[in-house]
Amino acid sequence: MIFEMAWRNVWRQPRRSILSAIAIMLTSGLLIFLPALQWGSYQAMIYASIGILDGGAQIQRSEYLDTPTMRTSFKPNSELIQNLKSIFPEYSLAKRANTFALISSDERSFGVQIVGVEVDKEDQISSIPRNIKQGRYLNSTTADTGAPGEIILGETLAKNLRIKTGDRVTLLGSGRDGSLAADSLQLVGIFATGLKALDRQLAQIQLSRFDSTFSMAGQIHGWVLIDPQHDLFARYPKSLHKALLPHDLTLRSWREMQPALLNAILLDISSAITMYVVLILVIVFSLLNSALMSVLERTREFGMMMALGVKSGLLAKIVWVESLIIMAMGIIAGIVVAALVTIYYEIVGITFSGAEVVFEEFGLDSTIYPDLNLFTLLSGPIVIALCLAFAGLYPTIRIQQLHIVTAMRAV
Amino acid sequence: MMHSLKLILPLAWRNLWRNKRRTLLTMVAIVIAVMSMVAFGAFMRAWSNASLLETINNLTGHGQIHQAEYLDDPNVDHRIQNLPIVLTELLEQAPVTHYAKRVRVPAMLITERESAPIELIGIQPRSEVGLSFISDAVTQGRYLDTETDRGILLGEKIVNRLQTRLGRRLVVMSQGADGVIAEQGFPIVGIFKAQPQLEKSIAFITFNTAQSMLKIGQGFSEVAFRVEDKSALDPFLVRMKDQSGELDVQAWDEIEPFTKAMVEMNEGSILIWILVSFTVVSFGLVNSLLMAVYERLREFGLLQALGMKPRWLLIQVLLESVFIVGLATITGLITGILIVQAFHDGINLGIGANYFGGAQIVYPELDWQEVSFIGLVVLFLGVLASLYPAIRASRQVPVDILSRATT
Repeated sequence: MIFEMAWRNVWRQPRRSILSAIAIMLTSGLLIFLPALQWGSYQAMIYASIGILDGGAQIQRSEYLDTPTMRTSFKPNSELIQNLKSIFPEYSLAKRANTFALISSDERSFGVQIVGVEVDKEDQISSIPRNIKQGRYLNSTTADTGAPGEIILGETLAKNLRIKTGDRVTLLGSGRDGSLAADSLQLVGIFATGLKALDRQLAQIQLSRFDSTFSMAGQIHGWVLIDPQHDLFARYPKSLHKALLPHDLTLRSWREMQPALLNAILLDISSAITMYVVLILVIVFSLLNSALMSVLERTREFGMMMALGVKSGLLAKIVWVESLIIMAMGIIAGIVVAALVTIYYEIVGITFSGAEVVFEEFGLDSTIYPDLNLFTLLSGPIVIALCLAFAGLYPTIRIQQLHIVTAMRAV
Repeated sequence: MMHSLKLILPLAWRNLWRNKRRTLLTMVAIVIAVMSMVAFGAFMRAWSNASLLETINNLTGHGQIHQAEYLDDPNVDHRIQNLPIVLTELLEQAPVTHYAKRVRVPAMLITERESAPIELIGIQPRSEVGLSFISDAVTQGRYLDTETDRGILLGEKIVNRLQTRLGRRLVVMSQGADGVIAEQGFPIVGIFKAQPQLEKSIAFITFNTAQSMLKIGQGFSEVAFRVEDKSALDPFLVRMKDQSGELDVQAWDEIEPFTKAMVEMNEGSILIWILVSFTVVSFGLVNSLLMAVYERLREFGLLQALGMKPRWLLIQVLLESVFIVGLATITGLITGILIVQAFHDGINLGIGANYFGGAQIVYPELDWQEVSFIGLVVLFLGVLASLYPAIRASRQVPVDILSRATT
């Protein structure tokens, strides 16, 4: 009965009810679409940033994060491999070794970052094998002894060295044991990642070549964990830490390897939340007003009903249900409209033209795909609903305070 | 005309307070929205200004001069051997406040155990004061004292990576003008703190040492300059570019297009926020004005029957909304300004800000032009939104209304 009464009351002032519902619809729609857009762009940023080189997680020596030196390496022993296999049956591991060395062509020399990679596993981690602009990616098998070793370089680096595929370069650096490390290699491919810093300063060679050139004696600097699901928020079991600890190793996710990226995202989220809070406050006050008015203008009517024996508690419930009905209409409409709009843009993408420079800096192109999931779809509307339901209690307090006689005399 | 207005003005004002609670609640929503516009605007500007300052301080200056190919390929070959006298004269006078020549080439740092690629910058220590961050960024040891100082300044991060420390020596390798790799030992005389990216990627020696190490005579890679005021930059650049001949003169926004794009994006987003928050507010405003009109339909009918023109009814309702919106806007502006003042000492945004190319600490700052813009836009949109209720009020036929009972 309460619902029927409330429903009728809602339509006594159709214009007011509909205006309120539209305002709720707009707000909840915004609070669905914008978080979905944010979520989508964060994911793109993270994938772009970890997908070029680092991978989602790496096993490294504990102190490697602070002092990424040649000697902060470890030996991937077979017992550990067995242990990890049993913890992550569906994951695989790719070895990496990193150092800095001087690379020289006939004309030019530059200091560069050299990464030794397990060639056949790289296409599951990194976008570099797919972004070869000239030549080819490294060969997965080591060529016969005597054949030149292979190297691939970033686009800008190759340009600055003034070399093309097929040319020779020499590496000069220091080995893990402190000895002088030198090698002559053939440029087989040139890649473009889209990130200027990498294209200017990155070179990759086969891990086996790295091992012999830099006297690694089988040691490596990182083990990239290849997660077939590409889960950004994967949780790793305790048993893993137990297995790694005796070897002085830890597993680092992208969150630890790229703290600035994580902090940038958190900063963006917190500034967005401030805006959402203001929007919700504005909508709550706007609607509180309409709800309160609809009570005050019916004071006479309420007085009459109370005189007829209706308890003020029941009247209060009816009024509260009225505001809940309007809210539900607005929120459901908001969810439906926003879901349709978001899904549409999830397919075609939103292109921010003119902002290419900004996106490029993060390794993205300027089309962003919002990501609608249960969280982005429902969290905004649920918060709005709770706030409005709570605010809707205020007019009911007014009703509880009514005195029959004065109420009946009210205008 | 004026006479009628005199009558209507107090009428509208009194009508406002016939239902205090409603008027105040309507105003609260507008106040919150306006306040947020002012505060967000100031924070956005703080952010933009901080990233701009950061960019300019981080060696960019307001502008730079290079040999034409240098920016594409920052090699020792692409150096300026002689700066034309006209340019030197321009740099010596207003509006330029600071300028300095630099040698800037890729190099390799080598310690006993480690090596790292960096950008080696030869600076004129005295000229960099006031031009770039380096002169007051040294946290351990000292800055480069004289123009012939033989030491090197390194960032804290790279010192850790190289596993070395203040006072130790290291070797710098870079390609000289003759194509041969030049090697020279330097003592670490100072360690600086800066943006993480810079700390990892640059090292400073003196200009003269760099010139002799690379065997480039009087040659150098770039000139960076700073002008008194940003507004003086454009005309100055035009004059420079006129005289630059084969040299490349560029402003900060050409050298760092990312910073420029971020600043522009911020300006766009404050406008979007004004529109979005106002749209939500306007529903509340229209709703409460409509209510105010509907409950007075009888009164309006009566006024019309007594000879008041519909036009005046319209103006009366509009005036009511001008009062509501106006009062609320002013209150909103004031609270917004107070909020901004409260954060006068700056807000620390953490290292995430660096990722977006900004500074960690930003200082919100009011732009009176923007504050008045917000006030006018809200007032205008508010009156626009109340046209609908006002028209409803003036369109009633007196007889219908008077004969209808109040509900």
